[in-house]
Order: sequence, then C-alpha cells, then structure tokens
Amino acid sequence: MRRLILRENTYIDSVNLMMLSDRLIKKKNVSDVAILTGTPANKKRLREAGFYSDKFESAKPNDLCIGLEVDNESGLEEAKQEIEVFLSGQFKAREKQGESRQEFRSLQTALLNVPDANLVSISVPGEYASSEAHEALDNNLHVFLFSDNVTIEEEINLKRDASEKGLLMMGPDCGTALINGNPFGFCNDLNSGPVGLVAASGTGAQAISTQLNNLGIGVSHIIGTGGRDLNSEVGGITSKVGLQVLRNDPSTEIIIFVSKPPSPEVEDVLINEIEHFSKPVIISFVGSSKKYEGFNNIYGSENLSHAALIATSLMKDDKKELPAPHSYKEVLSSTQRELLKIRKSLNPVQKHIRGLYSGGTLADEAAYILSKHFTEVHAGTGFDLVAPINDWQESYGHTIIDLGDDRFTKNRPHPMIDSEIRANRIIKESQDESVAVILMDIVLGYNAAEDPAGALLGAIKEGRARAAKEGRSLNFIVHLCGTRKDPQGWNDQRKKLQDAGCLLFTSNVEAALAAAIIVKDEIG
Amino acid sequence: MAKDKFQKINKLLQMEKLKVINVGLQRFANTYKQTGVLVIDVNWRPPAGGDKELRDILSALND
Repeated sequence: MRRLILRENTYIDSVNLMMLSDRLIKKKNVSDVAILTGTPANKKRLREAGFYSDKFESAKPNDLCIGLEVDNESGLEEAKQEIEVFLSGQFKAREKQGESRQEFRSLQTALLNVPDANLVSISVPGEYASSEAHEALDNNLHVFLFSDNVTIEEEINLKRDASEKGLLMMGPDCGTALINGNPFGFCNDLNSGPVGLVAASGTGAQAISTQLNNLGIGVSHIIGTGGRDLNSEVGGITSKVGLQVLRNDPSTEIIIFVSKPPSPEVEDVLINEIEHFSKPVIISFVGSSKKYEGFNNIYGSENLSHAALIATSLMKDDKKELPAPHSYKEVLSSTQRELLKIRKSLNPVQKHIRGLYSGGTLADEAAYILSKHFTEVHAGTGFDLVAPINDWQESYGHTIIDLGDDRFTKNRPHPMIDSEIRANRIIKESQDESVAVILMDIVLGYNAAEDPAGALLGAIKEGRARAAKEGRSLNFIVHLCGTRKDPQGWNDQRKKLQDAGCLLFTSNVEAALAAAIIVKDEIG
Repeated sequence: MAKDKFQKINKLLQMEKLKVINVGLQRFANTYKQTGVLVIDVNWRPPAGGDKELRDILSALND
C-alpha cells in the first residue's frame, strides 16, 4: 500500500536525503521509497512514479515529500519512526553545532557575522549554486564550487566575475582542491611539498597526488577548475589563473596540469603561456600521449602515474633520461606468478574485462589503456579507439563503466560515497560467464565513504561464490588510490581487499595492464 | 602588473589559517571542522522558501 507524508519546512541535503532513503528501503516491510524536496521538477517525478496526491500539491522546495510503499500498517509505523529518529538526529547535530554560536540560514547573514572569512565552499543543488557563488564573490571571498548542474552561461559569468575581482573560482563541478595543505571536496591527506597541480579532473588530481605522496614527494596546492573549464566556451579561465598563481607561488617548484583532453584552441593558448614559465610543467591529458617536444620546460606524460613519476625524477634532478611509464612488460614481470595463476584458472569462454569505476577520469584512462590491447573496448569516453556503450545496464565484451555518470547518480549518492550501485553491478557482472576480470578503483580520502573496501566485500564474496558454483573463477583487480594518512586507514583497506582475494595495485595503469595480461590470448 | 592581479589569490595560498564558510553538504562541514578550517556551517535551505518568483523579486530589490 502506498502512503504519502509531507514534512513542511524540513530541508536536508542530498547526501543525507539518500541516507534516509537507504535506511527506509532496508526496512522489512518497506518495498519502495521516494523522498524528494518539493520542487516542481521533483513533484513531476513523484507523479510519474505514482507517489503523488493532492497532499503534495502545496509542497515547496523547503518541504520534504515522502512516498512509501509498505506491506502493512505496522510497516508504515516503523517507517514513520525511522523518519523521526533520522530527522531529530539531524536537528540535534545542527543544534549542537549552533550551541556556541548563532545559527545562520543564509550565506548573506553568515557574512554579516563573520567578516574575516576567506573562502566559501558551496555544495548546494545546482540551480541555487550560482547565486550563492556570486554572493561570495561580491563579498570578496574565494569560492570552492562543488555543485554541478550549473549552466555553462552561469559558469562563464562566475569565472569572468572572479577573474575581474582577482578571486579564485574553483568550479562549478569541482570535486577536488587543496590550498596550502587544506583539503576541499574529495581529497587525500597529503604531505606538503613542492608539486602544485592545476586540475580539471578530481580523481585525476587524486591519483597523481597520492602517487607523488607515496613516492615521498609532497603537494603544495591543487587548484581545481571544474570539469568544463577547458572546453571552448569557458576557454580555460580558471586553468589560466591556476597556472599563473602556481608559477608565482614560492612553495611550488613543479606544476602538473591534469585534465581530459582540452579543446584544441584552448590547449594552444595555454601551451603558449606555459612555455614562458621557468618552472617545469608536466601535462597529463588523459587519453593523450602527446610529447610536447621542442619545449624546454613542458613534459608530456602518457598517463596519470607517469606524470607523478616524471615529477619525482625532476625533483631528484637526475639529469638522466626521464622515467618511462609503467609498462605491460614491467607489470607482467613484477606480478607474473599471480597473473599466470589467474590465467590458468580461467575457462575458455572467460575472455572479458568489466571495469566498474567511481572516478570518471580513472575509467577513461583504463579504457584508453585497454584500447591499445584489444580491438573493441566499450566505454563512455569518446576516445578514437574506444567503442561506445550501447546499453549502460547490460555490459558487452570489454566494458568500462563510470558509475559516477549522471545515468547512475540521478537519485542516488555518488559511488565515492555510497557503494550500493557498484555492489549490485558486481553481482550482475558475476553472472555473465564471459567475464574473467572485474577492474575497479577504490578511492580513499576526506569526504569519501568511511569504509569503501568493507562496503564491497559482501558483493565481492557473493560474486566469486556465484561464479565458482558454475565452475568459473571471478577475479578482482583493484587500484587502491590513497595515502597512509587517509582517514579510512590504508592498511585496513588493503588488508580487507587482499583477504577477499583481490589483486591490488597503487596505480590505475598497472591495474588496467594486469587485467589485460589476464585475458589476452597471447601474453607475449 | 600581472602579479598585482593575483595578489588576493597569492595571499590565500600563503595563508596559515584558512577560514571557510560551508554552504551545503553537512559532510563537508564535518571535514572542515576536522581539518580546523571551518568558521561557519550555514544551515542552508532554498531561499524564499524555494519560491523562484519571490526569489527573483528579492534579488532585484537587493541590486
């Protein structure tokens, strides 16, 4: 039976909303849940899903519309109780925080009372983000803008405005930043050091910065630009600012610039600026292996980990040749025993790799690397050698999926925070007899899930058990992206995954190459 | 000349103690608290009760 509950003047943020949804759907007598704020668009969705009546007609965006499909009255009562417990927990948390100081409901009033702030972190729903960001800029504050679903016109306006005012606009859609050791968004616990990043890719920045950290090289800053900064309309506004400030920053000796490939005109403009820097700049455009020969201070890298290796080598001032990227041969020789063992365990139909990623750039990079070894790799990337995904719910052949794509995160939290989508997909892929390897990234750090490895163990075990029942080995290759100081506990995460039989690598390229070695016809 | 343009940002990058206002996810506020940079976590909700027309009017009045 369907029941609708309207909670007026009850606003909870998108992550908490998903958590509440999750708790309710796990209840015994609840079979479906729809919780949305009362915006016109959401009301339409509720109507379409059959969770609507006159009750929600007057609902406003500040109100919570809760739709439940329950088995019986006692199921409804339990659900209602769960809702109250959750909401009062939220209020208590806010009250506790507000104890020692006044509560502010808007940025405007907060600013009246905190005149010496220097940066505003904005992660409200996209339709409201731009005006909050303008409010910050008008008050002479720098901005970390995590929100996506901001229009491109709004993005250009914000970045131009920030540029005129001499302020930093990191975003929209900026997932990762680090200012003088202080993390923003999804960012790892990094040692301070001489390498600065300008990043239009969050997980790209995380992959490179954690590699550097683990090689003993610290990071000064990560200037996030947002995912669209380098397209032709935005023109790289924040990237240009980021590059110039790192050029002038006394604590930065080497700059790494990471993104998916920019639009060619924007790339040209930026290279023309960068070539005048005296500091070395390492370019990491995922999906491109351009070398930038003929420039004294510009180094092209072949993949994310290669960028970190080049930076490390430059820091040591080796004067030798620059390091090569991790190679197929290298991975084969260093992990030969394990990889050959897995190859032997496969039955003849097991030929395919399924990549299930939480980081979009890591998925892109894996697809790019695998496309050099296999003629048909399906992914969402649009690189030349990569085939499109025809059905995002049903994998075919080698398929690499970014589970953070909008298709999956419409009404669910991002896989960096919540593993349910990935866990379900693991079970699904395990039922395909042609699958030999499941390739994944597990990203640690601030704001990511508390125990990302632990949250997937059940699915990994179940997947392997299902495959084993049908006489197949199902093999998990994992890129564990993090540092020893990350809040989740590196060793704990590593151990959980290894105990569950996963083969671990600290770089995405090595993980992807290991997967390739396992399924190739000839390992040569 | 060029350096003056980035003065405020250069200053931000040198700052020992950042002072961050959080507008949005509670999760982020918790992290900023943990890392010692949070000064205020705004108890944000859609402005003007989410009424877009009212919001536009209010915003026009503020200009």
